[in-house]
Amino acid sequence: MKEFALYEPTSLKEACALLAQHGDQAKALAGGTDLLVGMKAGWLRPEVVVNLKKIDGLRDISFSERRGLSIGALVTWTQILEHPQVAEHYPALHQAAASMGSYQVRNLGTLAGNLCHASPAANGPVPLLIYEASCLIQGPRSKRTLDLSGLFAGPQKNALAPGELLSEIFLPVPPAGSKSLYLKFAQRKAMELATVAVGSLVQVKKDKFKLVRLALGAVGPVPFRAHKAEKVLLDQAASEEIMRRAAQVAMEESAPISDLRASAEYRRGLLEELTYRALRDCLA
Amino acid sequence: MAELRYVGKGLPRVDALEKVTGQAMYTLDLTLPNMLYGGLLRSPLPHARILSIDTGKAERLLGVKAVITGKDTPYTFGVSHMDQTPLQTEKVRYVGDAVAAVAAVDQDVLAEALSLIQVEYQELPAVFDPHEAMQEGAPLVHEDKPGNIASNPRYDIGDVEKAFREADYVFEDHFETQRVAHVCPEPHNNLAVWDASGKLTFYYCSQMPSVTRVQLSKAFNLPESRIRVVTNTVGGGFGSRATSKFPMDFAAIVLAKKSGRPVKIAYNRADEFIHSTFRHKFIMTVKTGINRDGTITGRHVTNICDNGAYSDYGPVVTNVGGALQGTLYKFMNYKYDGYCVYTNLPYGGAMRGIGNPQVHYACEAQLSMIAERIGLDPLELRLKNAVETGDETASGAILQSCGLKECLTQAAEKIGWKEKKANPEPNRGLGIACGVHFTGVRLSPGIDADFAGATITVNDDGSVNLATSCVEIGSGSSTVLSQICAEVLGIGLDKINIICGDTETCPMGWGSRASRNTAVGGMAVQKAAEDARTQILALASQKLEIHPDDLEIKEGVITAKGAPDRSLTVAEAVRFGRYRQGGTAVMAKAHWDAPSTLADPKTGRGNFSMAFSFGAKALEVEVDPATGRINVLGVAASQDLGKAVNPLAVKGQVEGGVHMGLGFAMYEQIMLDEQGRMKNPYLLDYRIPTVMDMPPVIPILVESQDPVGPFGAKGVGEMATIGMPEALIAAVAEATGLWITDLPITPEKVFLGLKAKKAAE
Repeated sequence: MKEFALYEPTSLKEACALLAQHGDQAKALAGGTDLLVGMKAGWLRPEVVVNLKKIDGLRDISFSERRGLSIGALVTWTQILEHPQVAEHYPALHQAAASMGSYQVRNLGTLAGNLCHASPAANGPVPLLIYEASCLIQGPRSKRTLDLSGLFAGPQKNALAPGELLSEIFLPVPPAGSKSLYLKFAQRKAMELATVAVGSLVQVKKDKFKLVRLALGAVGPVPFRAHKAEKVLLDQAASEEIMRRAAQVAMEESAPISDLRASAEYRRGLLEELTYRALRDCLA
Repeated sequence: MAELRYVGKGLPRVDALEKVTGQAMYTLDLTLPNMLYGGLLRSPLPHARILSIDTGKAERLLGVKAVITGKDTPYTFGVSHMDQTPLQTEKVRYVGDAVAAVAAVDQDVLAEALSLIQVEYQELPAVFDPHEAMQEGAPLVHEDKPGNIASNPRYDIGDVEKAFREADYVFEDHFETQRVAHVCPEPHNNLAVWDASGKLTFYYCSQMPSVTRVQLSKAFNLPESRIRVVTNTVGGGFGSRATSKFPMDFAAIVLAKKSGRPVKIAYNRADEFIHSTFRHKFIMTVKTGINRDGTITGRHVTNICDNGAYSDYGPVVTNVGGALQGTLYKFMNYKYDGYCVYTNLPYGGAMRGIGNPQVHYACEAQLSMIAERIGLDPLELRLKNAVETGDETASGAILQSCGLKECLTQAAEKIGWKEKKANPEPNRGLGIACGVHFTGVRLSPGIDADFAGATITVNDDGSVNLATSCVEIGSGSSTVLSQICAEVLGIGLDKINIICGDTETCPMGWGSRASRNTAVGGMAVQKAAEDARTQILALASQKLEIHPDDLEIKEGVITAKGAPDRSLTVAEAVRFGRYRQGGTAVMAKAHWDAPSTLADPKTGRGNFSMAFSFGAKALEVEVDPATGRINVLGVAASQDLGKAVNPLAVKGQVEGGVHMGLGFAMYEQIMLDEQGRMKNPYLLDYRIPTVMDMPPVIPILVESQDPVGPFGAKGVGEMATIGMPEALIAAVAEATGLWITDLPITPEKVFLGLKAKKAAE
């Protein structure tokens, strides 16, 4: 591994100042399950590593019926998986946590790191997009709030400015009576990135779709909401036909690539089927 | 036979505690004072002339202690063909061919030094496809190998053309397998140390330390007595560390000599995939003649093996691929044309089954296709043609024990073959396949030997030091050999210390390969133990004044048969022998050469193994047609192993074989780009099945009691992994109507195949 300077700030401000000072040369370290792998393999060669783990207050995960779920930047996948109210109120996030890497990865890796890594195939973004999560972004001088969808700038590229850190993630309480889930298709049953992932949140009133949120992973440069497909369903009576049509629209909204894991043609086929199943299973 | 106390018992492994506690010392764990880290500079081009190599900058870098190029390593090596040199001087033949090596004080300096070596290349036209490589005018990978043919093994037995003419049907089908890796838990690594007297110690995770010593002795012109090879604990082999030598081995030794310091070279996981070799890609055509009643009349297999840039085990693999297809069924007309073809791609090697799994896949997959075409039950078709004890097969094997039919019927029964075939469910399918593999082998022309060695020393306290030529590479050999020793000697397992993997303390043998440890290695241990027992009883006889034939040993106590009051411990007997005028010691040795014969050079026929192991795999799948997902619901894996010396260990080995076979069948693939660079050199996208992916496995042990092996035992290791893709292809075909003949059988291939089929309808 290339030599680097390690900083261990004890406050967010200090961390942001260091990141601002070193710009592109610096990388923030949370769980390290992406960063250290890249550094050991030599694809990442930062001059400066800013370890966030000495900063207090970033390891908290809390839920309230009023404000929803708040997840600090150092909260691990294991913490999410074991949090009873995550399973109760955010089943799609729970399912994503359960299918994340291995025990070892879940014990180290953080949700915030997963989001900032900005892989289109990552487990974190898809469930968070359907829960309309927002991010608290700490900068060297100020804070700002960003809708999660604004965090992804491209494959492995986030929209944070130099010196900015994702410090906290908020998930509002899902609409009453809504159902949600996360479907991940991968070649293995564990230790896998998604070939295609779909998240769905559905609220049905009087047999009609009152609210539909669909998020898609690994079928475009960034994870995204399939708004056109959502519109197909809105205020429509729930039927297999309409869900199949929405799934087709979701497929048309996507732009999958062919890579090591699958051809674009296969991804399109999978996406169509998984979208249909995600909707169907929300109605079950 | 008297009641067995150790053999046949599912005892815990003798090396379990040190492994599960992490105490076991692997070569990778070793560091020595002043040790340097070595590494190789590899070619970025698939085929190029080397114009110049400038190592000046690297040599001047602080912390660099030695830099070498091909002029420092004037050695040739190889397994069957001596077509390799450690560091290239004239030209490079694949992306990854080594051209220089460095030893430095740490890994960072090493990496920098390697980046400072400047090599000027002139690119040459390259060939990446074995069919193209065989065409006239194709670039030659080795100038002295016209047509890029490394070898052309043939078997020509009976009259296959006549068999086809006389058959009711003749079918011809094509199959292709992919490159898959051994994925040893411990990557290849070594540590070379020269002492002041000029003696070389080579710490080396290897399946074959004795052969390594011979190879190094020849290369470096050193007496074998001046070379010590120590394997330490070995983290898996699967064939990748058998006879093969690697540029890293010569480089470490030469760098250590040049720097005067110990040098270690260790692969990382990415290196390991490509530079430790892999299972060769085979492109096969199978032609089979068969009658309406299911009698197979003859078979002709053509196989093109993509050798890659060097031969390593390629010609052996191509040969073994054909060697066993005349030993599974009763037909006596068999032809095999193997072509081992050089390309400018990374080269393959020996891997668990050594060519046999690939050809079994093609032949057994075709047999299931034929069953469907002519409307016969795949199980009955196999049972009708299966060889039996006493047969002399087309290949010339003389079967002294054969549990093939029992393997088939038991596997079928355990998977519920009859009931499920009678009540088919949509999207579900069953597959069955069987196979045969050798137990030790005598296939190398010119080497008429297949042996193992063992020595036994009985200590003053009656405990035993047993040294074996077999290396415990994770298969359980040390446990099984200790059990055999304990059984013969009548001494408790806890009193036996087994020593392996050190050429200075262990006898010579051909190490751990060819499914031979229990049977060949075990016979050497049995013979040595019998000798030691005779010596102990002779001493006891003197002391007790009872004829040795009237004495027996149990748990370290010698008693007169029928007069248990007259007894002596083994310890007392040993001390009685040693501490007196003109004393003696209990020291025994055995060198056991397996009874087998070399093949006829013209036809390829021969009884080339001491025993043949059979097995079958039956499995059930459920396919999700909308996604292509293949769920393997269960696998019944039967193994004719003669006798299970340790049923617990061998069930684990059968399950491990299923795991490796499942990876070959549906998950694993080394993906190469157009220049031969690996696109997925990491374990996320090179998918070995995880524990979550493993279906329930029912291991079935069929004990056919071989008359040659120790206590009736035959080999297991390689047969255990044969049969998975051929059973899977049939099961997926039954579930989907698709025969996916190019491995691996993936959800994507199922999905796209079904889509194309639907479009065609």
